[in-house]
Amino acid sequence: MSKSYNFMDGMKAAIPVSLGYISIGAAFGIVAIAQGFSLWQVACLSIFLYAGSGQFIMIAMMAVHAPISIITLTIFFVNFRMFLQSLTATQIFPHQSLKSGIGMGTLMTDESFGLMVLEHATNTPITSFWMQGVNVMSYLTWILSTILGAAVGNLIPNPEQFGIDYALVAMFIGLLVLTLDSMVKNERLTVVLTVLFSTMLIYYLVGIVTSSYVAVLIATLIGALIGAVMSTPKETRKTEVI
Amino acid sequence: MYFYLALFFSVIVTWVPRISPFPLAKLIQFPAFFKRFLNYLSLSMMTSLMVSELLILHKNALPSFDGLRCVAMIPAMAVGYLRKSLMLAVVTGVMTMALLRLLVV
Repeated sequence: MSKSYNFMDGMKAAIPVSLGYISIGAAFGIVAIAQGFSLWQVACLSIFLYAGSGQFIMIAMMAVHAPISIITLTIFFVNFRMFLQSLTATQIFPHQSLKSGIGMGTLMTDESFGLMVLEHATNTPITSFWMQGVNVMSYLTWILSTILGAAVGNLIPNPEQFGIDYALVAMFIGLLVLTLDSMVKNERLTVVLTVLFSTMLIYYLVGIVTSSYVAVLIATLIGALIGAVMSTPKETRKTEVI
Repeated sequence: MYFYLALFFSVIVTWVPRISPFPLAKLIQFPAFFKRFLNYLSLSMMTSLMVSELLILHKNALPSFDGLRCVAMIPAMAVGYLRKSLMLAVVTGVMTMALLRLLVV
């Protein structure tokens, strides 16, 4: 029974991601309406910006009429991790066409990125069609749930009561556990654990002085750098790193 | 007008970094060290994203832990690991959180 990786398989693989997006997307719609944005504006943000945390930050900043230059700079910084995610995709799919790559990059998210790296670590090679399926399913779910949240969100009195807001947190927990599980099989345990704990510590310390999205970016970069340096073969270390 | 201008510029600064690696990769070969960096990137990114959901940041003070979220993490983690399933991790996490809110609040 070998696993296949066509477009439909990708859409199915994105179901846990979609569960998370339904809750956080609906929450976005509710918050945006409460801040005075229209249904149309919610749809525009989801369709064109398509960035969870970025959208929340945008409505918060626009609600207080922050200067457009400041909004733009903030969004650039918050979303810059997507550059690194797309870079990873170019290494996983080296032979895909530019058109397919641009489509993939446009719709890549933290969660679909996590799924991609995870599936890539298994032995069967994943296809770009599979990844497009994951992305399209996530994208459609996000648009629909943000619009739905904006339209009927006020009818549900207390959604937190059902724990739905925890879906996205649980997804990161699951992604991390599964990433760890596959990495300890392929990489040295000391390196994996060092990256894990140093990233946590860096986030904790950087979080004292910056906002959470800046801390995420800095901890991610330094953590991956530590992993890269530690996994450099000894004989090439001196010449290559410096 | 304000809304559309803010949206336009934000879309540009989000989309260009998102897609630029694809034409870039066609033009240059990345060095081996950079590939090792990308190899550890998903681990460090998932770690910091998860921690960011569990910690509450304060200005100029040590971050504190979100107690309920940390407790609900344990069954989600255990089920995700034992059953090797993202879906079950999500469902377990949500059900635990609902239960915790029922009991605690």
